[in-house]
Amino acid sequence: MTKSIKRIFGIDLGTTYSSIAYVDEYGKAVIVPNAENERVTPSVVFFDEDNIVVGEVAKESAKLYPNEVVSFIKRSMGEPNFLFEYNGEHYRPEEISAYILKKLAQDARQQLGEEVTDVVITCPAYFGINEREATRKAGEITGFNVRQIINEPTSAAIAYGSIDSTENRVVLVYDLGGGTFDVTMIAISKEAVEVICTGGDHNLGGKDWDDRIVAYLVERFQQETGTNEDILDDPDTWQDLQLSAEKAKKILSQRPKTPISITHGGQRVKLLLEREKFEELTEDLLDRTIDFTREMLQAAKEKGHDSFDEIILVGGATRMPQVSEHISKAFGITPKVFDPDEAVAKGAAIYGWKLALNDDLIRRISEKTKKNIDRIENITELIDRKEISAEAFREAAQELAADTGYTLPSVENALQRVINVTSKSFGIVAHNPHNEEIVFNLVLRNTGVPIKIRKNFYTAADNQRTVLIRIMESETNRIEIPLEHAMDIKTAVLHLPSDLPSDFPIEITFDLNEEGRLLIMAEETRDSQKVTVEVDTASVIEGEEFELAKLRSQRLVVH
Amino acid sequence: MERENFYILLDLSVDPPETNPKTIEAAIAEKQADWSRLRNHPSKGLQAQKYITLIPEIRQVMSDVRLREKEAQSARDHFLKDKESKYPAIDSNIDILMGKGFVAKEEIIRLASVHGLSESEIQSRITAKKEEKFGKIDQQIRLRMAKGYLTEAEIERLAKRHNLKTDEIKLRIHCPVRKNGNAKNEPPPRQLDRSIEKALRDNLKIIGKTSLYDFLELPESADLEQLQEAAVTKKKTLAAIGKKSADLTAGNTLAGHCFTVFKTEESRTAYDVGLAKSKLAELDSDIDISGINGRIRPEYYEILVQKAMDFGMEKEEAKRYIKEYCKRKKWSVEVPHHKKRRQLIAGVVALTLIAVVIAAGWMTLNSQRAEARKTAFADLIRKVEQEQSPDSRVLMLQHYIRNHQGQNEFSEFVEDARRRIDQYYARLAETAFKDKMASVDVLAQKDEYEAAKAVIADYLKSNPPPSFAQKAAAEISNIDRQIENRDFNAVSRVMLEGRADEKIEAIRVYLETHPKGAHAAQAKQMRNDISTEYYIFVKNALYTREADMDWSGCAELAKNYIDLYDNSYSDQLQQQLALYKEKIRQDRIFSALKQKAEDFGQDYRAAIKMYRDYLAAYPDVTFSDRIAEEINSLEYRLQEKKTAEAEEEIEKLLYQSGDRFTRKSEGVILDKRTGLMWALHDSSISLPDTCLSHKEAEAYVDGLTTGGYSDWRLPTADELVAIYKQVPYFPTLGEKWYWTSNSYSSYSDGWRKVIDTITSSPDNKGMERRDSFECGTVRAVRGK
Repeated sequence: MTKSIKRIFGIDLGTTYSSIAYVDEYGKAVIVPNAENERVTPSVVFFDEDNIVVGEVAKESAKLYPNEVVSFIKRSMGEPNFLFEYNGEHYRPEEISAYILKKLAQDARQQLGEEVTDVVITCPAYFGINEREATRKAGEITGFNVRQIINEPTSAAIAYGSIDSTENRVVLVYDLGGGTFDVTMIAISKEAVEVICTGGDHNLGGKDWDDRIVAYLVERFQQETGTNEDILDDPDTWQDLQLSAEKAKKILSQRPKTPISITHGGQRVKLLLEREKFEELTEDLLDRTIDFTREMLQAAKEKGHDSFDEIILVGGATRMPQVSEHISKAFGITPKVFDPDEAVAKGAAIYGWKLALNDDLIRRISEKTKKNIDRIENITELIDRKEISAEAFREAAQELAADTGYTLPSVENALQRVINVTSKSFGIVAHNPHNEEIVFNLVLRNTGVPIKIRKNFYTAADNQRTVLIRIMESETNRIEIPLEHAMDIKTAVLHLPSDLPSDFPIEITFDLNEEGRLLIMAEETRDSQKVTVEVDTASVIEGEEFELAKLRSQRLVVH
Repeated sequence: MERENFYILLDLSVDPPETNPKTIEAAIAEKQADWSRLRNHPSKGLQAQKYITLIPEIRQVMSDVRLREKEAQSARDHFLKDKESKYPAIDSNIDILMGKGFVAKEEIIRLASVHGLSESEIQSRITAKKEEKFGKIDQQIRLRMAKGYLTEAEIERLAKRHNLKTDEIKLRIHCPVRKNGNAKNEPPPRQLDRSIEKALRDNLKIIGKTSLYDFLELPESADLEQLQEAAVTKKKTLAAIGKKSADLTAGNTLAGHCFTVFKTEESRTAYDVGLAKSKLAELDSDIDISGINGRIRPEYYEILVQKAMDFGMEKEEAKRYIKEYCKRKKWSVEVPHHKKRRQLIAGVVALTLIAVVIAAGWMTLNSQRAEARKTAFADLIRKVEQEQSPDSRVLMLQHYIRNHQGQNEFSEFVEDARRRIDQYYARLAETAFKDKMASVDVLAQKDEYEAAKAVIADYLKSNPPPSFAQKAAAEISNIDRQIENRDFNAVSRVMLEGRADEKIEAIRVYLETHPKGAHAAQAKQMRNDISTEYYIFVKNALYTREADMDWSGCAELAKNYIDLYDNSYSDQLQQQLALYKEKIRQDRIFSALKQKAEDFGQDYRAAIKMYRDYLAAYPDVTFSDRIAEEINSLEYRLQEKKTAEAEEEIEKLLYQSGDRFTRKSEGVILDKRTGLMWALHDSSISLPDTCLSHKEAEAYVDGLTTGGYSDWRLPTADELVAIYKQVPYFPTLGEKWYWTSNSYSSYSDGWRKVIDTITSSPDNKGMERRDSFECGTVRAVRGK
């Protein structure tokens, strides 16, 4: 190998655990272990006076310093009013997530002797625009060049497809992580990884199983000791039980029963939790995932896909034996557990690697043809549009293979496309004929992305100077929905040129890109003057706060 | 649903209202940090999330002077209302405390602190309290509906209690009405796990609903299909809402619960029962108040039982509920003593012997013509009377009769003599009777009725004159009455103090001895009265005997009860009896099998096969566990045999290894090349048919004391390689893989730990990593 291409890392930023991967010189995705030599890092942050500690140590500290430790921050991504307060300073979810990313990057650098700069970060398919934006911001606060945010099930499917990509098949990715649940139907072929349909719940994950155990333990403690006290009011006890519950869940995934002891206020209760009881306590949660899956299958059917070949399980929580059992029973097909902890990070790394190959090929073709091609252009589209010849591509690919030592087929594999759908519908606030405010959906969920929608708006008065557009996210497939069923995600203010008459059309373009990010452009139609658009995403860290967080992060060493 | 009041939510002063913007903002910031911290709390997380989303609205309201004033006013109203809403609970507590006739100062203080009111408020509440009757009818229906139906009898009882017509009651019922409850055939209905119930309550509270029915907006009479459909629709409706909110999460969670709860009638009933029981929270609060000193006073206990019965429980159920509640709280319950039931036992009839007074009349003799004869007869009579012995008297008179029989002039005297003889005989009989009666009297005084009876019986055998025989017979029945009385008194004593079985036995003995006794009806009534008590006794006794697998004993107990009673319990026991008979039958089969197995002697395989064949032929047999146990023990013996054989084999192999491996001591092999000592037996030989996870393997070597050494440990991978991959090899029986001490934590989350393992086969060079939960073999090593 003489020359290597720019390395793009894949990061699985999970609710309970995170990990980082890259593609090695043989074209194989590998996980980078952290400084503690573990392949996954608990997504837990401990504010220890002037230090920020992330990972196992932080998690262990939760018992002793419950008020200084933040866990499950991913569940609060995109929640504008979540603020963690420590020593009089306030931290947003994006910043806390950034500390986790920082830990991953720092440890990877230590292991590989190479700075982590370019990354692909994954998020649940079910994340809305705000949550995605927040995830990207977290990467930026860390100091990353975030190349793309991709969906976790897609990422898992890429990793799964990379193992054996000869056969075309439709897989159902059932992704039950620590805090979120996604179910996605994906068609995998040599040419493309194409998402057909997606659904899920961002508030349903392994932690809910833990919480059920915690609730059960509290109840049992009260029964045994005769107290009415809510022992979870004590933060130490809460954290202690939370950790015991997680441990118990894991043991019950292997064993039929596990002893647990609850200590609170000098009293100690020992009990035995059996798998059967555990399943009874959590049956409804599984039922919910099945219902989500059915709903998604219905939506897929409406899109003309009424069958799938296999179900693959990813996410740590799918290790619970009852998950496979329930799925087998509900769908009559035995699911495959596929690399549940690492598939997502590895898939992201493979995706990043493809982006890097793409960049390099474009650079080579551009040098060869003396054509100036923008690096971010997609090479497949260029070939489709006949802007570069298949010949030029092949030559460049061969050179690249020779230079780097990758095999030619794997380089050509960079052509495999990833086609995504949006998991949410989005639209704008408009008035119906009865002059009531409603939401008019421009893009319905499960539509392929990227997609561009153009729509005309009309000025209401002469010489109107501004137009306010409220962009709303929702989960329905209907075009017109009541205001209370949707959520404000952005407000765009158009600053119009002067002297426009009333009822004058302004053309607005909504550009939903493959990452699920929404860009808005506006143009007045008479003189084609650009209209300045100011977009305010209230739910995500921005402006001064964002800069401050970035600065804080740069100065910071994470332990 | 009304939203929370912000003054209250922020813990700000309401009277006078806090208006300082700095203080308010500080309070908001503090709460925001608190709520953010609680965002992932297992039970309070959702509520916290809900509050977090309220923050912008809080800021808006609290920074607007007009809105803020309104908020403060509504907070004041709220506190007023809050107080009022507490009154029913306080009243209920007062009810209980009044049970003993007054409310003590200490109790007032306690009530005030529990309800957060001043003592004077409680005091005024006590005085103002009226005798209000709350219609609890719906609640009572609810509680009974929990079993899935109501019986006609229950409805009638309810109607009576509330002075309503049965039709009026039926109007309020949404479940089937059965003629007879057959609850006896059904175990008490299952209830959802308490933690699930609590989660349901919490989530329902967040969205302001009272039950899953309320949540689905369906009546409680809706059928499963409707409920399932509604749940699916509900979830779809919720899914259409794009706002990420606590309400939505709670709704989704509840919809998930609906899927599970309304899956089967059984799970639904489990929910309904819980719903009904949650009504008892009020009762619980009363118990809490009563248990002020860690004990429930007898006066309170009775009122609590009454209260629980008002909730619709049966008396026994109510008592059980209260006792169990207190047991959980570790409080003692002082059950009031039953006042000694005044037994209306007829007073003891005094034993008085009727004295028989016989008036004796004297005859005057007419002697005009036959003065001499008369004088002679008179002389005779004088002489006769001078005689002491009655026999002599009779002889003298008989002599006179013989001499003067047939002589007309003497006929008068002969007659007289004859009469006298009769009189003497009568006197003799009377004396004899009196003597007997006196001794009977003495015995009766000593309560020795049976002996007394025997004396009379003896007397009767002596052929006494009929008049005395009659009297004696009357005396016997008199004594019988005494015996009956005594025996019944004994029964009554047992009824007061005895165990249920003693009572039953006493009644049985009594009735057997006195089937027509004066108290027979009363005794039978007593027996009927304790049908439940005896059933409980039988139930408990069955429980112990079942545990001892004493099926004949069980059958006997059940049969005893069934023979005595014909009620719902006996029906229940009848079914159980059938089970016991079956058990007895199976016991017999099992012992026959065991005998057969023993007949095989040392041929364990044959015995195992026999058991297995039997199991294959009768897979559902109830004593399959015991067969399995037998098989296990046989296999163990078989294994012991095999182990002995394996040892011999290894011994041979050891010899073949040249002098590298030698026997150091019993079970210990020394590797001369490395100086390490190895356990002769690996875990697969010392624990036949058991394979060990890595953790178990560690425990195994820790506990090993082979050769008297206790420092056995897991070998490293290198150490194992040295004996298995380098000639001469360590003696080995069949290929296995062995755990080593080289372990790696594959993931920090504890999901997985991997361990190096080495096979015992010389040609397989590779070392494999295996999950620590896999099942393998360990060979212990010591030294170095």
